[in-house]
Amino acid sequence: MTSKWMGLFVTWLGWLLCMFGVHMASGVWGRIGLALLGIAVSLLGIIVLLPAAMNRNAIWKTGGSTALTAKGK
Amino acid sequence: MKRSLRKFCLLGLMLLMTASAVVAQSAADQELKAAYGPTAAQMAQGDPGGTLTGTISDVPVSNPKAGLTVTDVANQVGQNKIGINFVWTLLTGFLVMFMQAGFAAVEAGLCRAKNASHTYMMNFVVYGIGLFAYWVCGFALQMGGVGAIANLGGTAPLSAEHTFNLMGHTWGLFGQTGMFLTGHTYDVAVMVVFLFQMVFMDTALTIVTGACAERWKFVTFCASSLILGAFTYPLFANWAWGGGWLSQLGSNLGLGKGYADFAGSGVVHAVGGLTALAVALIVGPRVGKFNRDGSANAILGHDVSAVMIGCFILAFGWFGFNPGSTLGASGNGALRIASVAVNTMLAGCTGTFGAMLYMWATKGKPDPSMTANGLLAGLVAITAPSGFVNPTGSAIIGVVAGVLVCLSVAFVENVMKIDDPVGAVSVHGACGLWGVLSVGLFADGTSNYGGSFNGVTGSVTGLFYGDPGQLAAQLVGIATLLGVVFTLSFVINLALEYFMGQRVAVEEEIAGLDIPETGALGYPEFVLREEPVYAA
Repeated sequence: MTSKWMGLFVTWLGWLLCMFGVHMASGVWGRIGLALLGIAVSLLGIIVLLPAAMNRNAIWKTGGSTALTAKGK
Repeated sequence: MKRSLRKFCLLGLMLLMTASAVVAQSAADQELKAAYGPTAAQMAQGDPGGTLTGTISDVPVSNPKAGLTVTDVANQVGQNKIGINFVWTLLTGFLVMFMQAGFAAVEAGLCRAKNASHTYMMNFVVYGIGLFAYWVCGFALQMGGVGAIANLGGTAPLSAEHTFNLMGHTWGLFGQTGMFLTGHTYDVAVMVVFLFQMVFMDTALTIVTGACAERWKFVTFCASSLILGAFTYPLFANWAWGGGWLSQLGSNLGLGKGYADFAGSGVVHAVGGLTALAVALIVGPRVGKFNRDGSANAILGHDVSAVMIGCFILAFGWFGFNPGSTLGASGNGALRIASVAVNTMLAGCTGTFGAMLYMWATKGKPDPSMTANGLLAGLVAITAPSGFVNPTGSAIIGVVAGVLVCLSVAFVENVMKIDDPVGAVSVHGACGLWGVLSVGLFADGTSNYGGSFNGVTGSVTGLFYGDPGQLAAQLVGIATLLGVVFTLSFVINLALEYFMGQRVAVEEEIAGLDIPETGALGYPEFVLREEPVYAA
């Protein structure tokens, strides 16, 4: 559960970083740079952390009742 | 003395101007009185050539004693303009509504026959659920503070935006008028806005059903869709279209013309696609999708004809989606509908080619379902920039989207290990974000919707045409979609998982959801082929 919330927090943190950059950076390229950094942080949460957290006990990993064995094929 | 003389001259000039205006109007009134339409006898003969129908005789006279006046004519001209815009916006809204049929066909076609009834049912019911949620509060949150929309005669009742102050600027957060369309919002222009915006919102809702098909509990789907239509979607739509803070990035911080999303690559498609990703993460993959080593199995859909026909219905409906977003066909640069429509066509075409050629080159065959997704990818991507780019730009945007959707589908499945039966996350999420970004790159600065956009004078202009500020505004929009919309959707659906459960029982999933979830088979007279046995 903790890793799930960590993934969510990182995703949200990316947006905070972007907003911080938009208000604090003076030039437009500085704002673009910080916005890109914020997007990268959010993507880290969405693409890496959350799937890893949600798939940690995935049924296909644990070999539970839903794993495909293609019996009879 | 000099001052008095100047005042006297000014007064004289004003009197002279007023008198000449009265004389001119009076002369025009006299001319109108002298004019006449076809006689009753002429009309009684019929008008096969259409030359006698629709003349001065059809202009309503406000005061029969005075006869037809310039004021009457001017009022009729104004009503004609607004009438054209009402009809245009309503008709394009009807086209968008019909896209629900396309989505239903595409999604059901890409699912197995044993889940056809359940998938069609979700796509059918989501229309009513979304409409109800939007009528109750969604519309008010989104458009309740939008202010006057000139093309529709000024929707003045929608004028209460909840705002907050940050660093010396006022920012819009959500609208506050229009719940249940009562009070002052019982207004013809407001009704047009409601209908048009409602069908857009419903498009976002139906995207989620595709990504979670074949294992989503029907009751939880209803609750999730209700919340998305009532809160999540309207919030972001307010920030982008309803006078909210994203649209104010230009006027408050000088970032281009503020976040610009002409018809909703971000507002509709990325919101739907990212919510689909959040729910798909929570629901988990279908039984048999992944092997124990993590490799993926292809689970084929049951009807490629439904997929292809559904895609064509969607492409047709997109002519409502994008050109309709001018909210009119007359005045304030609305004639650009022609460019918008051609851009929409072109991006769909190049998106199809992009996906087909990519699959052909990498897999040896032009995969039908991915080619169909390529068409949708191009259309999704061009939705935001369609009103701001030229045909060359739209062709490039489309072909990039066509390749992107193929790469994204493989990435979502093989790297993220997320099961998305129809590719909704890639088509609407990834290509929606690409569409938002492409405004900041390809907008050519030739559009002119009344001289300003989002309250900033000038045209939306992207980086390649000289305005990096617009790119910054678009990036803030993308960051908000990822950091706020996705997070909010994830938390809401995690709560639903806790209280209601998102997923059906394994036994029901293996048997097919038609009977357990809807009580009716999609194809009752068909004998379905036995599927692989899944170990207990």
